[in-house]
Amino acid sequence: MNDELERRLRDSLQARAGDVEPTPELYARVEAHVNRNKRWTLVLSGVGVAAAIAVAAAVLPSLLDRGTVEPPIVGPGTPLPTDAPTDPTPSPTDGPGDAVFSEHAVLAGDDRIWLADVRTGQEIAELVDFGGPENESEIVAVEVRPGSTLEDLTVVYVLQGEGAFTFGWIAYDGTDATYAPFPDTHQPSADLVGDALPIPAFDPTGAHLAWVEPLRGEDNQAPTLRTIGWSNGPGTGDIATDNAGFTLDEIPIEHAPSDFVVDDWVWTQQAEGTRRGHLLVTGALQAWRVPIEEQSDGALARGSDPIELITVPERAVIDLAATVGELTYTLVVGGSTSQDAEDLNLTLLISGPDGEDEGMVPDVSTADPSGIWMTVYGEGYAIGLGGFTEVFVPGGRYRFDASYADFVR
Amino acid sequence: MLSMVRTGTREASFATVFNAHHREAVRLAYLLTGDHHQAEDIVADALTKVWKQWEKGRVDNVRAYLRRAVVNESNSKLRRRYLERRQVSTRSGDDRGVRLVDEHAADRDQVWQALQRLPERQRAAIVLRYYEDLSEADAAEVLEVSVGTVKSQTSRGLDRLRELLGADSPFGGGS
Repeated sequence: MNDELERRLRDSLQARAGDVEPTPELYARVEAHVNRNKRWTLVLSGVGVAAAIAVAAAVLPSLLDRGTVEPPIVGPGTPLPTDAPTDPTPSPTDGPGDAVFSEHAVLAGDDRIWLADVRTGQEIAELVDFGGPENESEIVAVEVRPGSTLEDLTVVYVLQGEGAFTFGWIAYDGTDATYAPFPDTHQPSADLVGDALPIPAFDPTGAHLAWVEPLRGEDNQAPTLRTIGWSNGPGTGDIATDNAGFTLDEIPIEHAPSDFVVDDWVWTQQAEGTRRGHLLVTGALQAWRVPIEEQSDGALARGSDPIELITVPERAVIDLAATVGELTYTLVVGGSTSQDAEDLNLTLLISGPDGEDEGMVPDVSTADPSGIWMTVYGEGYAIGLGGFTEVFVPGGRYRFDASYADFVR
Repeated sequence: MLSMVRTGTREASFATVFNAHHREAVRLAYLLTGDHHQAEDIVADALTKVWKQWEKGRVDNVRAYLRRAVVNESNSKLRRRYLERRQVSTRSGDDRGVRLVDEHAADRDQVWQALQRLPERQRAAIVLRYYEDLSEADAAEVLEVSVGTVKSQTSRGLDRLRELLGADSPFGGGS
């Protein structure tokens, strides 16, 4: 039975492949790519500041003890080292999203979303499996709602298929998982430009969800920050908090089609029922800090400060994350140590009040930098692209066959 | 003048490498993506990487290096699939001039249509196993996953193909 299917499969693949002829322009395109990458490297290299960065990284005291001894990478399900330090000093918290680190993550890949123990790789529960003969969608992001536990877990997922993106959410009570798409009013626009992914992020309290939409047919117009409230699910029924949108005037649209990812959201000030903070947004190898406020009635507003372009000298920023009042994680590519465009020189800069250090990163030397993503929780972080994710927690580094991940937070 | 000659020599040499491998790379990328234009984009990126590494003498086996680069490039598109992908993937099988001249052609088309409905990773495993004829271990190395994952992806993909062809095949079920 399998032999016959395999024969038909080989026959079909050979026939299809045999019909394909490269266009005569391909060589010229490769030449152009090589030349363009050389220019790109040159722009990133710049002059002057690289040495200062290198010296700073070398002499500043380590913020974290990562990188001194590289723990082994182990696959999911493989027994893990038990002598790793697992009792670091707690850091100040601001809301449910700031524990020291998480031992559990929600992972996605192969049409499935599952809950796993980070250190053992053990699958605790399958949350949803979209696989099936009729499925033509794929999971392109997962986001865990802050405040979740193993017995009360909420996960937002983004599906791509049918020519559009669909937001949905999963509720897991420790035994059973249910899932449902968002109501139509809370879905991303169907008119997103190009292949822009609307990847959302929760605020640290789990009361708001935000994503960025560059809209088709609106050349030279700024992308829009969309937000919805969250109360036992997407939407609150309160017009003060549901479906608020803000034009991000300072973010140029000319990068579209491109992803604009809301990487993180932090509240930095709280007084008299209001909060102030910012969202970290990346896209087209640039990053912005978008000020935002929550008013006393729970409604969001653009912060009074201008949107700030975040730059790292000689590097291109591909992802950002922050922990309140503590550390900022900036994932960058480029730098003067590399004269080679495909040697991405992927670097994780971890900066805080005491200086700057570098965190470990996966080997992604052949990857498209735009496909790399990162998520951070306390002292743990995950970096991935395409088909794999590496999770770094104190004393451990673990690789998963998962396209996307987020920590239970 | 000397540097110009050297550059020209390198480019001429890489042109030889290009001529030897680009066609098979585009075909592999096409089987992985189902989109000729996207396949050429992927191969252009992959060959760019190969060129730079090859210039430095870091590429011993161009075919293997290029294959891996093509698969990696395809994987990196997972988050960035074009919206028109759906439209492309649901076109009829004869959109590129293939004529359904007999039942075998019709069957190949059914299999191809079914293959395009698989998740990318199952499809990649199947293409590497049944088009590139890689062993499970070699496919695992290319995909940067475990051998067990290649086995499970291939098995799930075949199961799904069997289901799809059972519903669609003019031959009434995957035999």
